[in-house]
Amino acid sequence: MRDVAVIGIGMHPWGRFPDKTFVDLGVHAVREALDDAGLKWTDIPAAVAGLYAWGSTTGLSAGTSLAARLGETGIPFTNVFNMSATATSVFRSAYQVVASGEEDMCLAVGFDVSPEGFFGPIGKPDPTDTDYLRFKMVGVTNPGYWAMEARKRMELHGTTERHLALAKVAASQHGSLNPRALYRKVFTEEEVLASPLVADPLRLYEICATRDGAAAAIVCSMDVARRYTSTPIRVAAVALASALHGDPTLKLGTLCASVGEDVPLLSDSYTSARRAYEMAGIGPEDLDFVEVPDNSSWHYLQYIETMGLCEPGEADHMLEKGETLIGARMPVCPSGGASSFGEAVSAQGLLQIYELVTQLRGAAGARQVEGARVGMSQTYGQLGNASAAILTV
Amino acid sequence: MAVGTVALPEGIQLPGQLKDVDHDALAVGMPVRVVVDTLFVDDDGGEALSWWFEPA
Repeated sequence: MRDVAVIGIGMHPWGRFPDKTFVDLGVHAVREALDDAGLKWTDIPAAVAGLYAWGSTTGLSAGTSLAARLGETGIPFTNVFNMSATATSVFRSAYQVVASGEEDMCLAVGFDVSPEGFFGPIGKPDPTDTDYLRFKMVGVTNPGYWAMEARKRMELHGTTERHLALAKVAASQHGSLNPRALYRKVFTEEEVLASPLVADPLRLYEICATRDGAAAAIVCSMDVARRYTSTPIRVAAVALASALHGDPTLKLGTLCASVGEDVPLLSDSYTSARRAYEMAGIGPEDLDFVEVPDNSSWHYLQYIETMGLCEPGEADHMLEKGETLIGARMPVCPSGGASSFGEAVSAQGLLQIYELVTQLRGAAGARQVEGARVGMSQTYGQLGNASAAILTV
Repeated sequence: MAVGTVALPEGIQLPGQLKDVDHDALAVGMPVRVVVDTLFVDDDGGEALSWWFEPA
Protein backbone atom coordinates (compact mmCIF):
# COMPACT_ATOMS: atom_id res chain seq x y z
CA MET A 1 0.00 0.00 0.00
CA ARG A 2 1.28 3.51 -0.82
CA ASP A 3 1.30 6.54 1.46
CA VAL A 4 -1.75 8.74 1.02
CA ALA A 5 -2.26 12.42 1.83
CA VAL A 6 -5.20 14.79 2.10
CA ILE A 7 -4.69 17.72 -0.28
CA GLY A 8 -8.08 19.42 -0.17
CA ILE A 9 -10.96 19.86 2.27
CA GLY A 10 -14.34 21.55 2.07
CA MET A 11 -17.59 21.79 3.97
CA HIS A 12 -21.04 23.29 3.88
CA PRO A 13 -21.94 24.74 7.30
CA TRP A 14 -24.16 22.60 9.53
CA GLY A 15 -27.73 23.85 10.12
CA ARG A 16 -31.20 23.78 8.56
CA PHE A 17 -31.47 24.79 4.91
CA PRO A 18 -35.09 24.50 3.72
CA ASP A 19 -34.27 26.44 0.53
CA LYS A 20 -31.52 24.03 -0.53
CA THR A 21 -31.59 20.41 -1.71
CA PHE A 22 -29.24 17.87 -0.18
CA VAL A 23 -27.31 17.85 -3.46
CA ASP A 24 -26.74 21.62 -3.08
CA LEU A 25 -24.97 20.94 0.21
CA GLY A 26 -22.72 18.30 -1.37
CA VAL A 27 -21.90 20.51 -4.38
CA HIS A 28 -20.87 23.32 -2.00
CA ALA A 29 -18.53 21.04 0.00
CA VAL A 30 -16.95 19.50 -3.12
CA ARG A 31 -16.36 22.87 -4.79
CA GLU A 32 -14.72 24.15 -1.63
CA ALA A 33 -12.46 21.07 -1.49
CA LEU A 34 -11.54 21.46 -5.18
CA ASP A 35 -10.69 25.15 -4.66
CA ASP A 36 -8.67 24.26 -1.57
CA ALA A 37 -6.60 21.79 -3.60
CA GLY A 38 -6.43 24.01 -6.69
CA LEU A 39 -8.24 21.39 -8.77
CA LYS A 40 -11.13 21.28 -11.24
CA TRP A 41 -13.95 18.73 -11.08
CA THR A 42 -12.62 17.19 -14.29
CA ASP A 43 -9.32 16.44 -12.49
CA ILE A 44 -11.06 13.96 -10.14
CA PRO A 45 -10.62 10.36 -11.41
CA ALA A 46 -12.71 8.54 -8.76
CA ALA A 47 -15.14 9.39 -5.97
CA VAL A 48 -16.94 7.88 -2.99
CA ALA A 49 -20.04 9.40 -1.40
CA GLY A 50 -21.95 8.86 1.82
CA LEU A 51 -25.57 8.39 0.95
CA TYR A 52 -28.56 10.23 2.34
CA ALA A 53 -30.62 7.47 3.91
CA TRP A 54 -33.78 9.51 4.52
CA GLY A 55 -33.75 10.88 0.99
CA SER A 56 -35.50 8.21 -1.13
CA THR A 57 -33.99 7.02 -4.41
CA THR A 58 -32.03 10.21 -5.11
CA GLY A 59 -30.60 10.05 -1.61
CA LEU A 60 -29.66 6.39 -2.01
CA SER A 61 -27.62 7.32 -5.09
CA ALA A 62 -26.26 10.50 -3.52
CA GLY A 63 -22.90 10.48 -5.25
CA THR A 64 -24.39 9.79 -8.65
CA SER A 65 -26.85 12.65 -8.07
CA LEU A 66 -23.90 14.85 -7.23
CA ALA A 67 -22.09 13.84 -10.44
CA ALA A 68 -25.16 14.85 -12.41
CA ARG A 69 -24.80 18.36 -10.99
CA LEU A 70 -21.03 18.74 -11.06
CA GLY A 71 -20.67 17.19 -14.51
CA GLU A 72 -20.94 13.60 -15.72
CA THR A 73 -17.34 12.65 -16.36
CA GLY A 74 -17.71 8.87 -16.28
CA ILE A 75 -15.68 8.36 -13.11
CA PRO A 76 -16.43 5.48 -10.71
CA PHE A 77 -18.72 6.87 -7.98
CA THR A 78 -19.40 4.51 -5.06
CA ASN A 79 -22.33 5.23 -2.73
CA VAL A 80 -21.69 4.11 0.85
CA PHE A 81 -23.86 3.85 3.94
CA ASN A 82 -22.59 2.63 7.31
CA MET A 83 -24.79 4.52 9.78
CA SER A 84 -22.70 6.95 11.85
CA ALA A 85 -19.50 5.40 10.51
CA THR A 86 -20.60 6.38 6.98
CA ALA A 87 -18.38 9.39 6.32
CA THR A 88 -15.24 7.79 7.76
CA SER A 89 -16.03 4.65 5.75
CA VAL A 90 -16.23 6.90 2.69
CA PHE A 91 -12.85 8.33 3.60
CA ARG A 92 -11.50 4.81 4.11
CA SER A 93 -12.73 3.69 0.68
CA ALA A 94 -11.20 6.76 -0.97
CA TYR A 95 -7.95 6.06 0.90
CA GLN A 96 -7.97 2.47 -0.40
CA VAL A 97 -8.54 3.59 -4.00
CA VAL A 98 -5.30 5.56 -3.79
CA ALA A 99 -3.28 3.34 -1.43
CA SER A 100 -3.93 0.32 -3.65
CA GLY A 101 -2.60 2.17 -6.68
CA GLU A 102 -5.90 2.03 -8.56
CA GLU A 103 -5.94 5.83 -8.96
CA ASP A 104 -3.61 8.62 -7.88
CA MET A 105 -6.46 10.67 -6.46
CA CYS A 106 -9.97 10.19 -5.05
CA LEU A 107 -12.74 12.40 -3.69
CA ALA A 108 -14.54 11.54 -0.45
CA VAL A 109 -17.81 13.37 0.25
CA GLY A 110 -20.64 13.00 2.75
CA PHE A 111 -23.83 15.05 2.76
CA ASP A 112 -26.96 14.63 4.76
CA VAL A 113 -30.27 16.18 5.73
CA SER A 114 -31.66 15.07 9.10
CA PRO A 115 -35.32 14.45 9.85
CA GLU A 116 -36.88 16.76 12.46
CA GLY A 117 -36.43 15.89 16.12
CA PHE A 118 -35.34 12.48 17.38
CA PHE A 119 -34.16 10.05 14.73
CA GLY A 120 -36.73 7.33 14.05
CA PRO A 121 -36.64 4.05 12.13
CA ILE A 122 -35.71 4.34 8.44
CA GLY A 123 -38.12 2.95 5.85
CA LYS A 124 -41.52 1.30 6.18
CA PRO A 125 -42.80 -0.21 9.46
CA ASP A 126 -41.14 -3.62 9.61
CA PRO A 127 -41.67 -5.93 12.60
CA THR A 128 -38.49 -7.84 11.71
CA ASP A 129 -36.40 -4.65 12.09
CA THR A 130 -35.01 -4.37 15.63
CA ASP A 131 -34.70 -0.64 15.16
CA TYR A 132 -38.44 -0.40 14.40
CA LEU A 133 -39.22 -2.68 17.35
CA ARG A 134 -37.20 -0.69 19.85
CA PHE A 135 -39.21 2.43 19.02
CA LYS A 136 -42.54 0.61 18.80
CA MET A 137 -42.29 -1.94 21.62
CA VAL A 138 -40.11 -0.09 24.13
CA GLY A 139 -40.33 3.54 23.03
CA VAL A 140 -36.64 4.13 23.60
CA THR A 141 -35.08 6.92 21.53
CA ASN A 142 -31.34 7.31 20.95
CA PRO A 143 -30.92 9.60 24.00
CA GLY A 144 -32.77 6.90 25.96
CA TYR A 145 -30.00 4.42 25.17
CA TRP A 146 -27.34 6.98 26.08
CA ALA A 147 -29.12 7.80 29.34
CA MET A 148 -29.07 4.12 30.35
CA GLU A 149 -25.33 3.96 29.62
CA ALA A 150 -24.83 7.19 31.57
CA ARG A 151 -26.65 5.65 34.56
CA LYS A 152 -24.39 2.61 34.35
CA ARG A 153 -21.37 4.90 34.26
CA MET A 154 -22.58 6.88 37.27
CA GLU A 155 -22.98 3.64 39.20
CA LEU A 156 -19.63 2.22 38.09
CA HIS A 157 -17.37 5.28 38.17
CA GLY A 158 -19.19 7.84 40.30
CA THR A 159 -19.76 10.19 37.38
CA THR A 160 -22.13 12.98 38.47
CA GLU A 161 -24.62 15.26 36.73
CA ARG A 162 -21.99 17.98 37.17
CA HIS A 163 -19.51 15.99 35.06
CA LEU A 164 -22.13 15.62 32.32
CA ALA A 165 -22.69 19.38 32.39
CA LEU A 166 -18.96 20.13 32.32
CA ALA A 167 -18.60 18.14 29.08
CA LYS A 168 -20.98 20.58 27.39
CA VAL A 169 -19.20 23.54 28.94
CA ALA A 170 -15.84 22.34 27.58
CA ALA A 171 -17.21 21.64 24.09
CA SER A 172 -18.95 25.02 23.98
CA GLN A 173 -15.72 26.82 24.87
CA HIS A 174 -14.11 25.28 21.78
CA GLY A 175 -17.17 25.81 19.58
CA SER A 176 -17.20 29.50 20.46
CA LEU A 177 -13.77 29.83 18.84
CA ASN A 178 -14.79 28.12 15.58
CA PRO A 179 -16.26 30.53 13.02
CA ARG A 180 -17.85 27.59 11.17
CA ALA A 181 -19.63 26.11 14.20
CA LEU A 182 -23.41 26.38 14.31
CA TYR A 183 -23.67 26.99 18.07
CA ARG A 184 -21.09 29.45 19.37
CA LYS A 185 -22.48 30.38 22.79
CA VAL A 186 -20.27 29.53 25.79
CA PHE A 187 -22.41 27.67 28.33
CA THR A 188 -21.94 27.74 32.08
CA GLU A 189 -22.40 24.70 34.26
CA GLU A 190 -25.48 26.34 35.81
CA GLU A 191 -27.07 26.97 32.40
CA VAL A 192 -26.55 23.35 31.34
CA LEU A 193 -27.94 22.00 34.61
CA ALA A 194 -30.99 24.29 34.26
CA SER A 195 -31.84 22.90 30.80
CA PRO A 196 -34.76 20.41 30.63
CA LEU A 197 -34.19 16.71 31.24
CA VAL A 198 -34.61 14.77 27.99
CA ALA A 199 -33.70 11.28 29.19
CA ASP A 200 -32.64 11.35 32.84
CA PRO A 201 -29.76 12.09 33.55
CA LEU A 202 -29.13 13.68 30.13
CA ARG A 203 -30.33 17.24 29.61
CA LEU A 204 -31.19 19.17 26.46
CA TYR A 205 -27.81 20.92 26.18
CA GLU A 206 -25.98 17.65 26.77
CA ILE A 207 -27.38 15.99 23.63
CA CYS A 208 -26.35 17.03 20.13
CA ALA A 209 -28.94 18.35 17.71
CA THR A 210 -29.76 16.63 14.42
CA ARG A 211 -28.84 18.95 11.56
CA ASP A 212 -27.94 19.11 7.84
CA GLY A 213 -24.42 19.45 6.49
CA ALA A 214 -21.78 18.30 4.03
CA ALA A 215 -18.03 17.77 4.10
CA ALA A 216 -15.49 16.59 1.55
CA ALA A 217 -11.83 15.63 1.36
CA ILE A 218 -9.59 14.95 -1.63
CA VAL A 219 -6.90 12.33 -1.07
CA CYS A 220 -3.96 11.60 -3.33
CA SER A 221 -0.77 9.57 -3.30
CA MET A 222 2.00 11.16 -1.24
CA ASP A 223 4.31 10.92 -4.28
CA VAL A 224 2.39 13.57 -6.14
CA ALA A 225 0.75 15.44 -3.23
CA ARG A 226 3.38 18.19 -3.20
CA ARG A 227 2.37 19.17 -6.72
CA TYR A 228 -0.87 20.41 -5.23
CA THR A 229 -0.04 21.64 -1.73
CA SER A 230 2.93 22.59 0.42
CA THR A 231 1.25 20.97 3.43
CA PRO A 232 0.03 17.47 2.50
CA ILE A 233 -1.53 15.81 5.55
CA ARG A 234 -0.67 12.12 5.77
CA VAL A 235 -3.37 9.53 6.36
CA ALA A 236 -1.53 7.42 8.94
CA ALA A 237 -4.55 5.18 9.58
CA VAL A 238 -8.20 4.76 8.82
CA ALA A 239 -9.89 1.75 10.38
CA LEU A 240 -13.32 0.22 10.71
CA ALA A 241 -14.62 -2.31 13.24
CA SER A 242 -17.87 -4.03 14.17
CA ALA A 243 -18.78 -5.18 17.68
CA LEU A 244 -17.52 -8.21 19.62
CA HIS A 245 -19.83 -10.80 21.10
CA GLY A 246 -20.16 -10.18 24.80
CA ASP A 247 -20.02 -6.37 24.49
CA PRO A 248 -21.89 -5.00 27.55
CA THR A 249 -23.12 -1.97 25.57
CA LEU A 250 -26.82 -1.91 24.82
CA LYS A 251 -26.06 -1.11 21.20
CA LEU A 252 -28.17 1.53 19.50
CA GLY A 253 -31.10 -0.05 17.66
CA THR A 254 -30.79 -3.43 19.33
CA LEU A 255 -32.99 -5.01 21.99
CA CYS A 256 -30.48 -7.04 23.96
CA ALA A 257 -26.87 -7.22 25.06
CA SER A 258 -25.12 -10.55 25.62
CA VAL A 259 -22.79 -9.47 28.39
CA GLY A 260 -19.55 -11.44 28.37
CA GLU A 261 -16.42 -11.31 30.46
CA ASP A 262 -13.53 -9.01 29.60
CA VAL A 263 -15.19 -7.49 26.53
CA PRO A 264 -14.89 -3.70 26.51
CA LEU A 265 -17.83 -1.34 26.43
CA LEU A 266 -18.30 0.03 22.88
CA SER A 267 -16.18 -2.88 21.60
CA ASP A 268 -16.58 -1.71 18.00
CA SER A 269 -15.14 1.72 18.80
CA TYR A 270 -12.50 0.21 21.09
CA THR A 271 -11.39 -2.12 18.29
CA SER A 272 -11.41 0.52 15.55
CA ALA A 273 -9.22 2.78 17.70
CA ARG A 274 -6.75 -0.05 18.46
CA ARG A 275 -6.70 -1.04 14.80
CA ALA A 276 -5.92 2.58 13.88
CA TYR A 277 -3.10 2.77 16.44
CA GLU A 278 -1.61 -0.43 15.04
CA MET A 279 -1.88 0.77 11.45
CA ALA A 280 -0.26 4.13 12.33
CA GLY A 281 2.38 2.49 14.52
CA ILE A 282 1.64 4.87 17.39
CA GLY A 283 -0.27 4.87 20.67
CA PRO A 284 -2.70 7.25 22.37
CA GLU A 285 0.25 8.94 24.13
CA ASP A 286 1.43 10.21 20.73
CA LEU A 287 -1.77 12.11 19.94
CA ASP A 288 -1.91 15.91 20.13
CA PHE A 289 -5.72 16.17 20.00
CA VAL A 290 -8.82 14.10 19.26
CA GLU A 291 -12.26 14.56 17.73
CA VAL A 292 -14.64 12.23 19.59
CA PRO A 293 -18.26 11.44 18.65
CA ASP A 294 -19.80 13.66 21.35
CA ASN A 295 -23.42 12.84 20.56
CA SER A 296 -24.06 13.33 24.29
CA SER A 297 -22.09 14.18 27.41
CA TRP A 298 -21.93 10.45 28.14
CA HIS A 299 -20.15 9.92 24.80
CA TYR A 300 -17.70 12.73 25.53
CA LEU A 301 -16.57 11.08 28.78
CA GLN A 302 -16.76 7.48 27.61
CA TYR A 303 -14.85 7.95 24.36
CA ILE A 304 -11.86 9.52 26.12
CA GLU A 305 -11.54 6.15 27.86
CA THR A 306 -12.60 3.95 24.93
CA MET A 307 -9.86 5.53 22.80
CA GLY A 308 -7.34 4.77 25.53
CA LEU A 309 -6.53 8.39 26.45
CA CYS A 310 -6.89 7.53 30.15
CA GLU A 311 -7.91 4.64 32.40
CA PRO A 312 -11.62 3.74 32.77
CA GLY A 313 -13.31 6.19 35.14
CA GLU A 314 -10.54 8.80 34.78
CA ALA A 315 -12.20 10.96 32.10
CA ASP A 316 -14.29 12.71 34.75
CA HIS A 317 -11.12 13.86 36.51
CA MET A 318 -9.49 14.95 33.23
CA LEU A 319 -12.53 17.08 32.54
CA GLU A 320 -12.61 18.54 36.08
CA LYS A 321 -8.95 19.52 35.76
CA GLY A 322 -9.46 21.16 32.37
CA GLU A 323 -7.18 18.64 30.67
CA THR A 324 -9.47 18.29 27.64
CA LEU A 325 -9.26 21.98 26.70
CA ILE A 326 -7.12 23.50 23.96
CA GLY A 327 -3.72 24.25 25.49
CA ALA A 328 -4.01 21.40 27.99
CA ARG A 329 -2.86 17.77 27.97
CA MET A 330 -5.35 16.31 25.48
CA PRO A 331 -7.67 18.73 23.69
CA VAL A 332 -10.96 16.95 22.96
CA CYS A 333 -13.04 18.23 20.03
CA PRO A 334 -11.16 21.47 19.31
CA SER A 335 -13.80 22.03 16.59
CA GLY A 336 -16.54 22.17 19.24
CA GLY A 337 -17.71 18.71 18.15
CA ALA A 338 -21.24 17.56 17.40
CA SER A 339 -22.21 19.55 20.47
CA SER A 340 -21.42 22.78 18.56
CA PHE A 341 -22.37 21.62 15.05
CA GLY A 342 -25.19 19.11 15.43
CA GLU A 343 -25.09 15.73 13.73
CA ALA A 344 -25.54 15.08 10.01
CA VAL A 345 -25.00 11.31 9.99
CA SER A 346 -23.50 10.73 6.54
CA ALA A 347 -21.22 13.77 6.73
CA GLN A 348 -20.06 13.80 10.36
CA GLY A 349 -16.89 11.70 10.02
CA LEU A 350 -15.66 13.94 7.20
CA LEU A 351 -16.36 17.03 9.34
CA GLN A 352 -13.94 15.45 11.82
CA ILE A 353 -11.39 14.92 9.02
CA TYR A 354 -11.91 18.57 8.04
CA GLU A 355 -10.96 19.61 11.58
CA LEU A 356 -7.97 17.25 11.74
CA VAL A 357 -6.56 18.66 8.49
CA THR A 358 -7.23 22.27 9.52
CA GLN A 359 -5.43 21.76 12.85
CA LEU A 360 -2.50 19.89 11.30
CA ARG A 361 -2.05 22.65 8.73
CA GLY A 362 -1.85 25.10 11.63
CA ALA A 363 -4.81 26.95 10.12
CA ALA A 364 -7.32 26.68 12.97
CA GLY A 365 -6.98 30.29 14.13
CA ALA A 366 -8.25 30.98 17.66
CA ARG A 367 -8.83 27.28 18.33
CA GLN A 368 -5.42 26.14 17.09
CA VAL A 369 -3.80 23.34 19.09
CA GLU A 370 -0.22 24.65 19.21
CA GLY A 371 2.29 22.40 17.50
CA ALA A 372 -0.33 19.82 16.52
CA ARG A 373 1.33 17.03 14.55
CA VAL A 374 -0.93 14.00 15.16
CA GLY A 375 -4.74 14.06 15.35
CA MET A 376 -7.31 11.31 15.63
CA SER A 377 -11.04 11.05 14.95
CA GLN A 378 -13.47 8.40 16.15
CA THR A 379 -17.11 7.64 15.38
CA TYR A 380 -19.93 5.92 17.29
CA GLY A 381 -22.69 4.07 15.51
CA GLN A 382 -25.90 2.11 15.29
CA LEU A 383 -25.76 -1.62 16.09
CA GLY A 384 -22.07 -1.30 16.96
CA ASN A 385 -20.11 -0.19 13.91
CA ALA A 386 -17.36 2.35 14.32
CA SER A 387 -14.44 3.92 12.52
CA ALA A 388 -11.31 5.82 13.45
CA ALA A 389 -8.73 7.85 11.54
CA ILE A 390 -5.29 9.16 12.43
CA LEU A 391 -3.74 11.98 10.40
CA THR A 392 -0.23 13.39 10.75
CA VAL A 393 1.81 16.25 9.30
CA MET B 1 -42.33 7.07 31.13
CA ALA B 2 -39.54 4.94 32.54
CA VAL B 3 -37.32 2.61 30.53
CA GLY B 4 -34.67 0.36 31.97
CA THR B 5 -32.17 -2.30 31.01
CA VAL B 6 -32.74 -5.55 32.87
CA ALA B 7 -30.19 -8.33 33.39
CA LEU B 8 -31.94 -11.68 33.08
CA PRO B 9 -30.66 -14.79 34.86
CA GLU B 10 -30.09 -16.38 31.43
CA GLY B 11 -27.21 -13.92 30.91
CA ILE B 12 -28.64 -11.38 28.52
CA GLN B 13 -29.70 -7.82 29.21
CA LEU B 14 -32.67 -6.21 27.53
CA PRO B 15 -34.48 -2.89 27.65
CA GLY B 16 -38.15 -2.51 28.41
CA GLN B 17 -40.69 -0.11 29.80
CA LEU B 18 -41.09 -0.11 33.57
CA LYS B 19 -44.63 -0.42 34.87
CA ASP B 20 -46.09 0.92 38.09
CA VAL B 21 -42.83 2.36 39.39
CA ASP B 22 -42.17 5.47 41.42
CA HIS B 23 -39.67 7.34 39.21
CA ASP B 24 -37.91 8.80 42.24
CA ALA B 25 -37.41 5.34 43.70
CA LEU B 26 -35.72 3.87 40.59
CA ALA B 27 -32.30 2.50 41.43
CA VAL B 28 -29.58 0.49 39.69
CA GLY B 29 -29.89 -3.12 40.84
CA MET B 30 -33.54 -3.03 41.86
CA PRO B 31 -35.29 -6.39 41.35
CA VAL B 32 -38.03 -6.53 38.71
CA ARG B 33 -40.15 -9.22 37.05
CA VAL B 34 -41.29 -9.58 33.45
CA VAL B 35 -44.97 -9.03 32.69
CA VAL B 36 -46.86 -9.03 29.40
CA ASP B 37 -49.40 -6.27 29.01
CA THR B 38 -51.20 -4.17 26.43
CA LEU B 39 -49.01 -1.71 24.57
CA PHE B 40 -51.80 -0.18 22.49
CA VAL B 41 -55.10 -1.03 20.79
CA ASP B 42 -55.24 -0.29 17.07
CA ASP B 43 -58.16 1.30 15.19
CA ASP B 44 -59.74 -2.10 14.50
CA GLY B 45 -59.66 -3.08 18.17
CA GLY B 46 -56.59 -5.27 17.77
CA GLU B 47 -54.50 -5.45 20.88
CA ALA B 48 -50.70 -5.15 20.67
CA LEU B 49 -48.84 -6.75 23.56
CA SER B 50 -45.32 -6.03 24.77
CA TRP B 51 -42.97 -7.04 27.54
CA TRP B 52 -42.78 -4.77 30.58
CA PHE B 53 -40.93 -4.86 33.86
CA GLU B 54 -42.51 -4.15 37.23
CA PRO B 55 -40.97 -4.02 40.71
CA ALA B 56 -40.67 -7.54 42.16
